[in-house]
Amino acid sequence: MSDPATWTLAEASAAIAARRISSRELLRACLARIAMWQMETNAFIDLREDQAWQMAEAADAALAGGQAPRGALHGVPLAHKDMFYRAGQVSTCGSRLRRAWRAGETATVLSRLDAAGAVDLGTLNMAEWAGGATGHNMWFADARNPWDARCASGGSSSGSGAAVAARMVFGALGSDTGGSIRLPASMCGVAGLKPTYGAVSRHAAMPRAWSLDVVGPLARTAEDCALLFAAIAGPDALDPTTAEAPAFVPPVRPDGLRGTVIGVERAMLDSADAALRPALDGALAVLRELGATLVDVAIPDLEAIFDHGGIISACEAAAIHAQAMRETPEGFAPDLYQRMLAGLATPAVMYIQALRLRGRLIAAVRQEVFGRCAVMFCPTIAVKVPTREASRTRTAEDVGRVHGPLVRLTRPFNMLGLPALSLPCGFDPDGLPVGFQLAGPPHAEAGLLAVGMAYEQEAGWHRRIPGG
Amino acid sequence: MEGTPDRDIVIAVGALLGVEIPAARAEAIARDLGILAARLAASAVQPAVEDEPTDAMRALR
Repeated sequence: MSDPATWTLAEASAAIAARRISSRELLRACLARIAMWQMETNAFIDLREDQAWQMAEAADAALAGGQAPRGALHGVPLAHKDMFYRAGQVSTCGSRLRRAWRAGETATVLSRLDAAGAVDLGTLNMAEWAGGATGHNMWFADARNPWDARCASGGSSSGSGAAVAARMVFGALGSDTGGSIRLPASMCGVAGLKPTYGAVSRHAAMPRAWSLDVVGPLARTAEDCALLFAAIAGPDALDPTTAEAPAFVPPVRPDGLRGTVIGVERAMLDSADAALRPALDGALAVLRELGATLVDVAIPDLEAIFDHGGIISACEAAAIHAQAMRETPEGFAPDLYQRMLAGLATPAVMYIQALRLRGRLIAAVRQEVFGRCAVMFCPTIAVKVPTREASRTRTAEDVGRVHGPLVRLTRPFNMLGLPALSLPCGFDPDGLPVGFQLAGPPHAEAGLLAVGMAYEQEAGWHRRIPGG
Repeated sequence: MEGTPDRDIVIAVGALLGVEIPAARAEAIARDLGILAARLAASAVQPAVEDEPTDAMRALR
């Protein structure tokens, strides 16, 4: 039998349902991977082994007692970015200021995963207050890329990307305000789904910028993301933005993509570093071979979308942290603090104009892009995975230079509120992963995931594992 | 650049919010805000009188 920790979540789920493996055996396999990879990646902030054993034993006892699995996640070990609160437990949010802060309530997404029978192995590293695209963290040390520890893991859900890629857990929750699920997914070579704004509850999850924040999964495949998304999506009375969230049922993998029109965002594709093009062009070739029809599309007013998204992000983050910036400025990393000063100084009218324009920008993209295609293709990141040294930021100017190019192709989908799935499509000449995005109209997650499932079955990049 | 907000305005806004913004940082923020404002003013897409933030939720239906 192959190492169970290297299975996909769907394979592990099927094995549990068929009683071919127990939750405790899966947990033991994950703990062996953690013993191998934690020093290399620094993916975990707090490994909660005792809690995980209790949950795994409960999952096994339920099946031994004759109960059916509670769902696809029954007994499956997961871990999550350290910003989803669990009542009574520490949630650091990657910040020195919350090193010992205990949450008073439990995040709806964690409650839903608990109800689905999932096993929670602990909390994962993240950028301080989810405010960075690289995975650096001066308080808890950087998360490191399992493909090359000298390289950035991507952020802000840095530990989520590294832990899933190194097969330490079968899946992880992250959050995405400007790319924070898709960037670590792409840089670490795993799948990451940024859902439609309002599709998943943000209750008792740390806010970065409430108008843009979404919670979503990172996992080994699109199929695994679908299983996790099904468990967390849907209305929650504790988060009014989810009031109109539809129910989600994981799609069946299609035999091919005949009849599917995929729009290729030509300007975004052409902006990619030449070293990334073979992998990206290879992904397009696979989609074409599966029968998809490819057409060129262009997001209207892309620069304005990017700028307005940046304004909203900067202003809301500064508002959230204004009191702490006044009272304990030494509690922030200097570069993050310097950058947040710009949010404080941005005129209120500039922020309000960005919010007022949002509906108009979304409507234009729905008409001009998704009037022509069901799914849109573009790179996740236009530049190669940077080394941690080259992407370490010390000043606000450093942050703009390093983080700006990384979020160039991800932030627009936060401003637009649209779903986007990042999938691996190969490696650059230095052996670091390359990823692409499939974006869609509001609440088109099932369609994106179905295309992704067809793609990954054919391309097989998810079967490549760091270190072997 | 003509029209760039003075760094003293940035420092004053910081002071109003109880946060000290160093002069060099205020200078850079003022410069960046000026560039951003000029780019947005030149953009083809501008809000109309009736536009409001809740339009986004309607557009996402």
